[in-house]
Amino acid sequence: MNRRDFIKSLIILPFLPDPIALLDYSKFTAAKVKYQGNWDLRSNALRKVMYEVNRRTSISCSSEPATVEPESTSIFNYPFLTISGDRPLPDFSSISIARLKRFISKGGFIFIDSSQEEGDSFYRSVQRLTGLIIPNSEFVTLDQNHVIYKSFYMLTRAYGRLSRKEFFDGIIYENRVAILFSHNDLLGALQKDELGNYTYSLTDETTRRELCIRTAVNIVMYSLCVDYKDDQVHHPFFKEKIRR
Amino acid sequence: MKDLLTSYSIDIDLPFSKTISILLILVIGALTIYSIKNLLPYLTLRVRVFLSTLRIMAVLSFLFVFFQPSIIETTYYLEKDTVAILIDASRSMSYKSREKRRLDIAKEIGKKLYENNELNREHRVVLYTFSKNLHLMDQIDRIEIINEDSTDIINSLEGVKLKHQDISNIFLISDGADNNLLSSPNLDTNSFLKRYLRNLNIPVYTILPGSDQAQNDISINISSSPPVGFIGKPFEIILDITNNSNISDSIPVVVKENGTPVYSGNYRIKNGEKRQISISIFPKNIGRNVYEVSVPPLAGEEYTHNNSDYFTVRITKEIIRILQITGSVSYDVRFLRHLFKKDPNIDLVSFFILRTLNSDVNAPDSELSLIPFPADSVIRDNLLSFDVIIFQDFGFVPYGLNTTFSDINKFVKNGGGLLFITGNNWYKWIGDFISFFDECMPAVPRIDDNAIENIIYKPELTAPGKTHSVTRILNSLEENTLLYKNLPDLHGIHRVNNIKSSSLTLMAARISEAERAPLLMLNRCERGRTALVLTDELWRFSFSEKTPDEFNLYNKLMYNLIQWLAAEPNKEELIISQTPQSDRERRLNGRLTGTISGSDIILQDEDGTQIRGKITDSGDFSFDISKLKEGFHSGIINYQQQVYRTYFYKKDPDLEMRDISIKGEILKSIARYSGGRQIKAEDVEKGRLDIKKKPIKKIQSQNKTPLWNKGIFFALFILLFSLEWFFRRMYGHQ
Repeated sequence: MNRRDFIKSLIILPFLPDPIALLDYSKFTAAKVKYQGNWDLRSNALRKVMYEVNRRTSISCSSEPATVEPESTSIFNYPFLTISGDRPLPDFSSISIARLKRFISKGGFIFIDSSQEEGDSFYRSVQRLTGLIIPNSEFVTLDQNHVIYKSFYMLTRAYGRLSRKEFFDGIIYENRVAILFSHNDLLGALQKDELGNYTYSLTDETTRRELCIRTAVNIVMYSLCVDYKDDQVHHPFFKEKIRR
Repeated sequence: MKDLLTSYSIDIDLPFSKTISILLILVIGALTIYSIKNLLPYLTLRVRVFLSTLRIMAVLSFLFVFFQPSIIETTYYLEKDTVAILIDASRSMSYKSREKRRLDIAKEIGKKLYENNELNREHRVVLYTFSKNLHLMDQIDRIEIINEDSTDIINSLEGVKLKHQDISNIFLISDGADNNLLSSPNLDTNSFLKRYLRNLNIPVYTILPGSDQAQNDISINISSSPPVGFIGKPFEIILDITNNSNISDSIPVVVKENGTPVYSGNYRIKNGEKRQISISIFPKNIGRNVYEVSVPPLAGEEYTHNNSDYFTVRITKEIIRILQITGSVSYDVRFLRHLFKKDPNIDLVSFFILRTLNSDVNAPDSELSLIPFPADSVIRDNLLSFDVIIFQDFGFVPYGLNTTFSDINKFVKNGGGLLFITGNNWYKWIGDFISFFDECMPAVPRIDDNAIENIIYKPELTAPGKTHSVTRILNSLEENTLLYKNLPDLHGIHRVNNIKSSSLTLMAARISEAERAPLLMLNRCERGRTALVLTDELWRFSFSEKTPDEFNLYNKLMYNLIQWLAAEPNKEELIISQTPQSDRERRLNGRLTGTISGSDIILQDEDGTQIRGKITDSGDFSFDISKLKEGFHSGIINYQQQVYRTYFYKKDPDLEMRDISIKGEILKSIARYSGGRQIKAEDVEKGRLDIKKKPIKKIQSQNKTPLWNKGIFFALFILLFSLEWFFRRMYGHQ
């Protein structure tokens, strides 16, 4: 590139499309929400989730997750957002709240994963945030009968690195879980170090890790299929599998 | 020379106003009574009576002078009042009764009246004919049928009264087949006539031009029909059938839907009786159906135009059944399912392929919630129970369906709707099914390595897309176009080959300044419809910062598309606005969406007659069908390469001939309530009319002779007062 081309490129740079928009939209891409604080604690867990979803299901996934700021309109490029943390969330700006409110009302899904090993300050801060996004909403426990545990794999509970709570909590909006909360550091179970090894070892390593992956696959599958597995046509098959 | 007559009357001139004059009389009267009562009691009764009489006479003579009476002598002559003969010359009077037209019988009767010596001696006779309007005539022989579209008896009576203040009697010669106010179903005819004729205050003598029995005519009229019905569910219509036949009282009724019989039944209706019957009809076709209701002509029935009538009903599906089959799960799949799942008018059956043949699920089947793809139970066995099938990013080969495309082909050609939405994977697994695209779909998507154009683009409406019912979300063309200009950018588009000439591209991707790639295409394949969406990103229309809260274009667009595929009448490109209630039967108006303003459009009827029209800005057109024969038509509308089957009915808005029976009862009521009577034709012939006379008194001169200033009256006045004064004094009064 000569000097003139470089100057030209500087001129046209602001008019180029958002680099995020160049990703393949039609593929599933999970996006991490960037906030002031420890937002990227599980920096590569989503990559593992998307890899496993791509490998195990018919869902085509991008290879890399995206990162979005809640103030930005780019959250509307990714209907699947994740928020993770191990300490209370900071206050989100009013613009962020408004964007997230619109995000949910238009059909978006937010997965919130708690990495907090003790106490519930993260959960309480999430409750404050979700109360602003969907006023008068509250988390309900999604028990064993919820479709999220059978959206792809037949699961009996919500798995993660921790075992703080047996089931997910969720906020229901227009007959779907719009905000899903995991108490068990699910992304922590899929986080790897620079050498490609899992960051955290788990008890009953092989089985539990696999169940964590299956839990993550089910969450992604639920975000796309919602209550599909609740359709009447599936019931005889489930009954048969449960009987066996 | 007129015969002069004289009459006398007395007139008085009040010196004051009426009230003061009356008060004055009362005061004088009271004083007189008082003075009489105070006559001296020792006087004998005879004297008292004498004095009282004198006083009263004196007072009366005073009043006589006071009010200045005069005698009026009037010289006058009597002039003839007017008698009107009204002859009904409406088209129903052309009907034959006993080998003669009703009008000819009416003219014979009218002539006898018009030339009746006694009538002409006593009255001034005027002659009128009427149908909807009144026409003055001078000769009976000149009366002919008036070519107006209805008969209005009330308007005619009113007209005669307005023209002749001195009218005393009306002769009304009519079949009574009024089709204006007196035939209104919402009117209590008898009470209306009673009220109206009392105000008219003219006796009407009615005469029937023939017998009101058996005219050998059957008429049928649709009284009510619903505007909308549901396929597979019956709807009810109400018919008025009038049997004026002496041949049969069992009337066969046939109902045809778009020319095909859907109902037949026999109804017992006595001769001379009008009956309302209700019929349940099961619609067979979806769309704007034209129903013809008819009774076959009787042997020798002269007027058969009133043997049939028609109505239109928009038949729609109560529930649209959709089968959604997806080859992979994506946001496109999720948003489409969410839209249809929440709609109570849509019954959605979804099958998502959650894993591919290459997927490594790392679990035995028992640990998966997956079910086998129900190829047999759905595609092979139950396909025809759906209205629309959606294939999203779905390849056929891995699921053993590559051999069943003939079933899908049959589904479409039999009237089903097929929506194919492309994606990242389907074309790798399309197999032989590609031949289906070649046959029925709007175009054939490319299946080579360059099938997908990896660009970011702005979707835009094409010229047909601006007016098409699928892409037309807002009524205003300008606002609708603006709505599409604010859409978010999309990424990636599937390219196509072999675009069918019959297809319609509604949306396109702007590839370059000069090049546009189809994005949303429609096509018709025999009785069915197909649509091709060449991106899996339309969901972004819904999930966007730009999407207004109150208005979701994605939802509206996809719902319109499904309704069009399901052949819902309100989403048809061709909408015919002809209704039996309008007077548009001489024109066939409608709207064809997806058209270009100013282009030609041709209507061709089943006989090959072609009528040309022009498309307006909003896609409207109008054909002049006045030259087509009366009755049901199955036509074709040609617009460029597109061909639309259409059904319509040509029926003159001929109120006059819908019921031509003689309405003896109405004429009887008119006669009775007006103070006249019904006269038989024979009585007219014999001159037995016996009508009321109301001659007009015309004054030639008047003389007024005052009485009060005559000398004799004045002397009498003085004498009475003097006598009263004299005798009063004589008997000791003051």
